[in-house]
Amino acid sequence: MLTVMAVAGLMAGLLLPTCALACRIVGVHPDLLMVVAVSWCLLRGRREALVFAAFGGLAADIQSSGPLGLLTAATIVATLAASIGEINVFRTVVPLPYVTILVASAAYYTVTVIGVLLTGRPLELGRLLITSVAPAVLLNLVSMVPAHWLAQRVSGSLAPSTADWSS
Amino acid sequence: MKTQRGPAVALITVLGLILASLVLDIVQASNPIRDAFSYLAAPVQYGLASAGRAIEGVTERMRTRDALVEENRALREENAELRNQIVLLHEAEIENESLRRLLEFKRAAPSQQLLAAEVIGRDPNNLLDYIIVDRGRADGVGRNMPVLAADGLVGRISDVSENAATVMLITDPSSSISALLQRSRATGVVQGAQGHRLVLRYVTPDSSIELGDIVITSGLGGNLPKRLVIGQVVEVLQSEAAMFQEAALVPAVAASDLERVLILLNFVPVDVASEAPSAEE
Repeated sequence: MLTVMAVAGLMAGLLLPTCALACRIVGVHPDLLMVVAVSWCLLRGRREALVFAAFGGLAADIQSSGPLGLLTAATIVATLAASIGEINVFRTVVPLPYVTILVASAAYYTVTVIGVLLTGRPLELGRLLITSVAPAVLLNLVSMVPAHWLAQRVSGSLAPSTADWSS
Repeated sequence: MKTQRGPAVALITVLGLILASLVLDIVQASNPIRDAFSYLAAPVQYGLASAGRAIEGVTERMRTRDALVEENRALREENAELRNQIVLLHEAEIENESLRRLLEFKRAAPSQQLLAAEVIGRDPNNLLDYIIVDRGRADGVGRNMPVLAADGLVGRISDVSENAATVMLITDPSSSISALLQRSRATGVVQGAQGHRLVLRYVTPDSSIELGDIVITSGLGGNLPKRLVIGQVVEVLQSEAAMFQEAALVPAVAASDLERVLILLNFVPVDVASEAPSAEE
């Protein structure tokens, strides 16, 4: 299953940024790859989602002009942040995906901003928050509705994920 | 032993009735009987005829329904095809308009060797303002070449692969261009800012900046050719204490709508660092 997730991640990493561009509002697009990774993490667990995020992030990084590995790191950190919501007791709570995507988006943009700043690019943090981060987080929240619905359908048609009792 | 007389009696009765009806017909006394029969049979005949017509109608309707379903299907297909053609025509019209404007721009500057390129992607990172075009090293594209649209400057080639190139838009926060106010000839530097904006900086306090002023490239530094339109002043940010004036600009080219661009191939950017004399010289 992890191989399938790696291939799916690569495909998604190549396709989703292009799809996301069609949903641009005020010059900002949703981070669909991260949204799907977070949704998958909630439905199928951290392991599969991390593989998806790593390979998807790598494919997105190839298309980005930012430092190689930045989007991979950001997507992985967002998925790890989302894994807090993975605990089975709360998995069926309806607002969980939407609360989780807000947390994951915050983690994603923290990593992205730090990464961009480390490369020496000038960023006005205050304006960045208003013009780029806030609209993107909002778009991620809205995108979570169809993405999670679709992920639920796909996940439902697959074999249940195996429980790892070793840890 | 019982004899079977039934059929014979029935036959004789029928023959008798026929004979009687013939006699009545000959003597023309059969009309009342006919009328009586007609009177009794008419409703039955009417019912049968109606039923026949109804059956005929149903079969006709079924035949018509099948034809209508088929016709409807054909019309739907035709409709879908026509809609598709309308979309394609509309798309061709937009493309035509865009290419016409690029061609006009190209004709206006015959000395410039311009290469048309399609925008095939944008940076997946929301914090960076880059686009990807479908022309690369194989087409003669090199780093730092200016990228234009019919309305003005778009950006510079920041990275080139064999068949594609990445363009840093002038609105990216890393972008910095030597600029000139067309009206007052005051010089400054246009920098990209977050939110796809442009800011004109380092304009001396004694220079005049007015709303609506056109800002063009100055050519200073040798990174870009002169007289390319960058944008227009929409807000003047003056401060008594500041050493320089600033102005917010609206870019001449809306990068979010870009589909095609022109790459200026025959402009060789000057590498100021390598041109500058070293300390030993």
